[in-house]
Amino acid sequence: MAAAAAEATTDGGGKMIILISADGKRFEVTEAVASQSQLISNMIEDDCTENGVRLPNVDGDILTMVVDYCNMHAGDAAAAGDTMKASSTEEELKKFDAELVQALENPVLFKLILAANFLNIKSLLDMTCQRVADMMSGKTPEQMRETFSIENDFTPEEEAAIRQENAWAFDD
Amino acid sequence: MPPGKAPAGDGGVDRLGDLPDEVLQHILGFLPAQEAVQTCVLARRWRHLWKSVATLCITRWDWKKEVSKEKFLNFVHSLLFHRGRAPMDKFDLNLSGDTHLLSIWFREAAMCQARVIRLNIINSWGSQPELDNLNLPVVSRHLAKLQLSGVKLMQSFLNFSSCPVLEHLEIVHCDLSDSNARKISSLSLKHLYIFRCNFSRTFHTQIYAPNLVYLGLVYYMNRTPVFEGVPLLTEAVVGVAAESGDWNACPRFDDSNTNSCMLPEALSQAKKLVLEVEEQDFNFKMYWQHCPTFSKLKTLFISVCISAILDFEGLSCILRHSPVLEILTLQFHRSEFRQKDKVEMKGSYSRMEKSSAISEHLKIVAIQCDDIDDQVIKVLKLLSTFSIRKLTSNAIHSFCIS
Repeated sequence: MAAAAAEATTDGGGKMIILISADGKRFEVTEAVASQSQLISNMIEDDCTENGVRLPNVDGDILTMVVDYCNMHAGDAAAAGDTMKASSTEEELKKFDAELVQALENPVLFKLILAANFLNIKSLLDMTCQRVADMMSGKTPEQMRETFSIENDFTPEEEAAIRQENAWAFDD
Repeated sequence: MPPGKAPAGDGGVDRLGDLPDEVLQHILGFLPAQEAVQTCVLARRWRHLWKSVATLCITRWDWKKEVSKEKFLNFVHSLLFHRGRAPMDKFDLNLSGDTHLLSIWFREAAMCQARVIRLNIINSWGSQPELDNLNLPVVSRHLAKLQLSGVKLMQSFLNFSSCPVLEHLEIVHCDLSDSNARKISSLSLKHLYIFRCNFSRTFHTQIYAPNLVYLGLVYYMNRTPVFEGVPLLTEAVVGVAAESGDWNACPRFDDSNTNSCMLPEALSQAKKLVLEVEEQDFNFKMYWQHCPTFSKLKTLFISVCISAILDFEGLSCILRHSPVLEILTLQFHRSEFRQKDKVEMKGSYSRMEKSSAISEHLKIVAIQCDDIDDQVIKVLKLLSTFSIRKLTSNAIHSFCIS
């Protein structure tokens, strides 16, 4: 245990691994950074990251954002035991997170959600899903359809029937 | 990008509808439950999605005021029963007033394997809705965190022996005086926080949580609970209010079995201790007459409301019984919701005049207050008897008591 900890701190985070995006872009990150992804963490545990980790359904642009996010949050997990250290960077992290999701166009946001879901990075998935929920909240069904390009495939009669079926959830 | 005209891109994911069901359900979990259900009319695919949403956040205050209470309660009930037993991760219910359905909803959430259950009921004292589990212990292999606020806990509800992963329990503004609910028991519990709760006047509630690491017991009323061994307790926050029963008198301890110990003894293994005193003589010399040795205590934080009177004998007793204390902070403030202290003094233990009565490891002594009044002066004098003399202040450059 002590030996492993010593090794991890020698070159600022231990062993490096390579992530390869769908379009062949390569990202070199520390194991500590990468293992925020539960998927990669499991792969590290199973010792199958030797020749790089191919992520065939994550584009380079999206993976850049994911890696930025993980780099930013890597200290997070490491400093969990050290409350003083964690609190000093908390505000910076919040600001970074807010700026990351606020700036995204919907299609990019959805791709980032898919990547977070696939890589199983819970905090990133929660943050991006929260952003979508915030955009949905307070909208009428019609406004929601418009915002998110949802095609209403109900007939007016069907829609009325479903509303009736779940009348307990509607105010009117 | 104009809505409705999202061109197909290389990734093939441009619209919300391109995300898989599980992700859409995750998104719906971040919406108030009512809005999540209302997505059923969006399109065919959305019709049943809400039923499998694992996070249910239901808040009366999110609803329009003109919607009746009955309509709201009917919503909660309908939601739980229309969704059926789809696995739940978190059930978070916030409402005001009474409802007899609360216990049924709690059971339903537990049956759905909820990992986190939070019931936050705003109500006046004495009329909290009862939470009962058909006089049976709660059984859940999934419940890890339970937060209860504003309820009366009945019968066997506090027996968590059949919740093997319950680690975190918060009980706030609850009534724990039911004569059939005398014991909080859990083998797995690590974190217990009890805030402004009402214990019994006639018996000591027993706490059996052998794996407890953190205890918060803040501003409770009536009798202080007793403990059945908490050897792992490392951090505790204890808040004493005027109604905190037996702090001013020698506690009668005749109604509990011999396995139990009183609060000071339960705290004796803690590394960090916070004592908060609100409008009360901080007179623990009776309670502390058999003051245990705090053999691991490194950090002691004492916060006293200005209207309370600090018991110096009690304070000096704790200091004399804390052989490895490193950091001592004393804070004097006007009200519970305080602003930043105006005066902060820092001092240290003078090694030149070693006092055998106090920890030789003491590194930092800090006093935070609004004014340097009589009480603060008294404390400074007390500290000086322990050879803690030179204090520097942000208001006054150096403060020496002799």
